[in-house]
Amino acid sequence: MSGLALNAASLRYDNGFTALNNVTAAFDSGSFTALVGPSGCGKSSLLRLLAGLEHPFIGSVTGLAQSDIGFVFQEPTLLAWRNVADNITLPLKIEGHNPSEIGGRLDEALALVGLTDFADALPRQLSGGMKMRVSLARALAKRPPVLLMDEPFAALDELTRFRLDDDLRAIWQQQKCTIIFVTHSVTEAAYLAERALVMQDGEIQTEITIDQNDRDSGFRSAPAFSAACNALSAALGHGMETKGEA
Amino acid sequence: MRYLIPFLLGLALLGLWEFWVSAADVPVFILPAPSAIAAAMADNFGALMAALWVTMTVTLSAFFWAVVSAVALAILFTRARLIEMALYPYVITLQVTPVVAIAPLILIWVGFDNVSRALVMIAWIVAFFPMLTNTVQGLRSVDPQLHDMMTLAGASWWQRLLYLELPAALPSMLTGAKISGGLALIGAVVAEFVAGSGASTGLAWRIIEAGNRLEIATMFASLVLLSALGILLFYLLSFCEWLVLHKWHESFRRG
Repeated sequence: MSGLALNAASLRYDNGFTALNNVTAAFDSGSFTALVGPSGCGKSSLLRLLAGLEHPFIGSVTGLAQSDIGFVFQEPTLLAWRNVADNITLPLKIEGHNPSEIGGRLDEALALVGLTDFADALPRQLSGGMKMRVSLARALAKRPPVLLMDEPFAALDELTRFRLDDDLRAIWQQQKCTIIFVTHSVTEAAYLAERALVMQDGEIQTEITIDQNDRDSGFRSAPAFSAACNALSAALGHGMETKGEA
Repeated sequence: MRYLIPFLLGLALLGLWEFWVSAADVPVFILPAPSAIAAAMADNFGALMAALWVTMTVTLSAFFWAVVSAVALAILFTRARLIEMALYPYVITLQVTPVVAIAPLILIWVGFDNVSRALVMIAWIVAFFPMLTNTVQGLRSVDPQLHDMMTLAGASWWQRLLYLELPAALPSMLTGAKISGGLALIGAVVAEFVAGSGASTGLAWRIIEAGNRLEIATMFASLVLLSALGILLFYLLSFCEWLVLHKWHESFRRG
């Protein structure tokens, strides 16, 4: 166990909207979980609950200290006036690490996302994919046991997204951190994760385990991949139907 | 070209003015020729420069205090909603009441023992508001995700202010500063007008004094210096804006 779990948690926003309804879920240490579902199903809310950015209305969250959480937002969320290196090191600086430690972690994070040559660049000089890499590097520099990612690659073109998905898999295997990844893309969930939680209307509807055999090469053309895609599509399609009838 | 064209236009207009005044024989107490204005400027150079210094000091002090007080109050407003709710109506009252109407009161309260302090205060009232509203707006419009990012990093309130809110608000603050700078000069002139004879020795007072003596050329010379001061202030602040923002802000992006 990574110690990360939701116990019958509900989340209601100030405007009365119930984003999560009685959700129970646990996340094993070192696991890669995808949260899949249509817009507004509560997947981002679940992530924010785990990060301690929201608090449950009922139920409880077994969480971690915020310093143990790396969070990657939907947008790169970079400070436009700080260069790549200064963006990545800001959380470390705030946490009060010493300069040599910060320097070491910066180099490590830049190498992980392949941006070693861009430390001095300003965000506006970078492409969308590169900005997202900086954002990922900023989360990784904290060396977090848990990485929470909220549709981080949704705004990118497909080729860039495939490349970042590959890199993320590699980073996960290397760092052995727990990753919870929100996406509305069935193929992205099937490609990245070991397990997918399909969400609908603020509840977890189905849990699907994704076969991790044939991972070595060309997983996108492996039978296990299309099987996972089909299972996820079916779960989501079923969800849409019941919603339509209700 | 950007500087040459307006310069040539100005030169042409001045030439036309000079020609028309001498051709139509316009009396010097109605409209003096540019050459007469230049002569008046040269004759009264010492006095005019002293007056310029006085007005500039009032303007810059008022502007300085406007920036400092507005930024401080804006930070307070964004930190404590209750304080904003309590104070905002009064800030607006101060802003909408014509300063010419408040000025005599301030002169009576403050001006007896220190006229220049009263002048600065009047100019401050005029300059304060745009700086405040722009700073508040800048501090408020920070992307909520950036705030979440700071929360996850465990930032204290002053780290949030220093690393996120103030830099993010800089573009709005500098826009406010450009407006405030111009208004500080207007406020200084109004204050001098109201303060009247003996109390003030700035450029605005020189204009009234020269007007009373029908020294229209000296009036124009003072006016030229006032405009020059305003233009200088504007470009100085624009330069600051460029210096701080050109590397990263969208408004300085080419093409």
